[in-house]
Amino acid sequence: MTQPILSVRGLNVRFRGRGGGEVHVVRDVDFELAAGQTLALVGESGSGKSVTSLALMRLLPGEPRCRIGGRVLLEGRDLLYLTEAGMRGVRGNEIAMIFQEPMTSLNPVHRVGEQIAESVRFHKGLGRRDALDRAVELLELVGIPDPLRRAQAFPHEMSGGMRQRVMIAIALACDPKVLIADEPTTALDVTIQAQVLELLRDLQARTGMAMLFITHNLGVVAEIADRVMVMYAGRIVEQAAVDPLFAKPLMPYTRGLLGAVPRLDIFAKEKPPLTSIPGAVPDPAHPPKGCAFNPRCTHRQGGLCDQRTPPLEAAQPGHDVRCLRWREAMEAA
Amino acid sequence: MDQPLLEIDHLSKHYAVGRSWLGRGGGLVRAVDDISFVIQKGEILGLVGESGSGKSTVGRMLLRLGDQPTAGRVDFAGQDIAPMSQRQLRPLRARMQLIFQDPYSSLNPKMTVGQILEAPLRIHGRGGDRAARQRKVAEVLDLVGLRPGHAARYPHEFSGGQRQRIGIARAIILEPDFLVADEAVSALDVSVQAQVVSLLLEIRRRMGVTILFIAHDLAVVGYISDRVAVMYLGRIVELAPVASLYARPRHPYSEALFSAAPVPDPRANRQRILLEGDVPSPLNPPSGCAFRTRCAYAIPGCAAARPPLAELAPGHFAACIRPELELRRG
Repeated sequence: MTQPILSVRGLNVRFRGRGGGEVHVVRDVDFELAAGQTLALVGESGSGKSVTSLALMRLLPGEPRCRIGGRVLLEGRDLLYLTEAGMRGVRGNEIAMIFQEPMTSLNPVHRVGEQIAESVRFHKGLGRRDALDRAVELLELVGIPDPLRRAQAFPHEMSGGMRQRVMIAIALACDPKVLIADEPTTALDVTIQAQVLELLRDLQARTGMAMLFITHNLGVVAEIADRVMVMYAGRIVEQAAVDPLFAKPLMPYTRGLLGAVPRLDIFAKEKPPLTSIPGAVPDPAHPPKGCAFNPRCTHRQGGLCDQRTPPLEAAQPGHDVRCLRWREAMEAA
Repeated sequence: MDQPLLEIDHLSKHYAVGRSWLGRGGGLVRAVDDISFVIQKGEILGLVGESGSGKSTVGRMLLRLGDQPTAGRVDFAGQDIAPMSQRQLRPLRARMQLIFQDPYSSLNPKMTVGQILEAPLRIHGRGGDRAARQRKVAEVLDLVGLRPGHAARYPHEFSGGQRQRIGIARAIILEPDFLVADEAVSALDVSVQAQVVSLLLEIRRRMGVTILFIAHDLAVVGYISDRVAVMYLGRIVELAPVASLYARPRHPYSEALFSAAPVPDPRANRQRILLEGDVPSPLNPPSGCAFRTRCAYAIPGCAAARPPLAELAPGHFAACIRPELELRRG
């Protein structure tokens, strides 16, 4: 693999709970991200995927409400040790982020052109005129028709898909090395989602940026990712390149998730049973003992899975799994 | 089957918008524009479409929640409920129920689950005395996969999936004939979504209830439904049995929807049809076929007249003037 741009080691995030106790929501997360690569972080609600991304951007509240441990290395610099001023030079410049809901991320009282221009004025020191020209260029880049006129529009005058394109334009304004996309298509209709995914793929090919793509949607993962990390109860439970992960998932949780997604191609014939995972995602304040997935797992072995926390183990080169019984589970499958 | 529970005939809902205080200007949003279909007794009919297609408005009109339909008939078990007053509707309310999308905002946080479930029984004067009502609550909790002991707890003590089970329990406790599930599983995690879909199928099997299942996710809709209607800009553009629709869609918009749906298989060899632009404004829909402005197969004739739903295969209807098209599922 080429030299990683972003390298995360032993990331831990703990929030202080109401009673003074701590809730440990991100546990020992390690990953690397190279230029031009798309890494998908998949998980259900409460798995810790969004908190991971906010921790990388240092957008979480400070101590004592929240404690972050580990290292977040952007080309060797540890972002967790930057001053707030130093971090402002990184955010939106070297690492940019897009969110799920473009309407709440955009300022409703400013024209979109100005909102895009703001970022280049701040980071690149461009004058007002040049920055607005750059904003129009960026609107064109993200496929907005009639960009000169659209730069004058307010967010409410645009559709959801258009607004997400504007968010992407803002994110790309300073040619970031890393783009963190947190559920960027979840609020969009499928036909618009398809457009936005296509746009992100195309922009990545042109700019060579690395992308951390956070989603709960396995279909979207299959479309966009090179590598995939599956997160459960704050931990990475499986990671692999996208093909082996979908073809031969090792962790029972991943297999359960894949089985729970109804597929379009099956309905022409007889409908096969839809498998579901019993129970629900554990409360992060009270994680089960041992493997966090064990109470829902059909392969659990009493006395083992509910006692020992499994390590992330390399099952095959480049394919890691956090399960004490993945071999047995594979055979049974 | 094949005995209609609901017959919807030329149903429309128009909203006047943007009129000045002098009553000038403004326009008419055709949220639902002249649609006709039938829901058979015991059937699960899926209704798919993107935001703004009018699918939720249809669901609300069939339950007569909110405003009255602008035009058309809704025959529910032989009576036209479209022109009825709220008073006239009251005796029918127990027979038609809604399952909400958001299990967080649709349950009163100050009521116990038992109180929430007992409310419909009390309101409609059903279920006998207190002890009998509580027995009914326990029975329904068991049916939706919760424990009778859960009746004493409050909604915040439950996960999203469990709350949706409570919402379903509330909807079925009066043993209705007809349920509308509006995006009932969309807010749930994938692993839990499958549980709730299976539960709805189980309830249909045990109670014979008829369901209108409104959703934007074609895969979930295909899994649960017997037939599916596809809506675009207030109109039904295709209506067909699941097997027939998912084997060969007959309307270009359905084809585009299938093509856009992400497939959880990285090796799937897909030729994607990317629709250009956004859905046109329902204030000013295109003439003729509403989809023609984004359709790759549009011909001049598409602008001339609104195409009617035509039966192109047994039970398979599509509103397109080009039935010869060989469309793909994506």
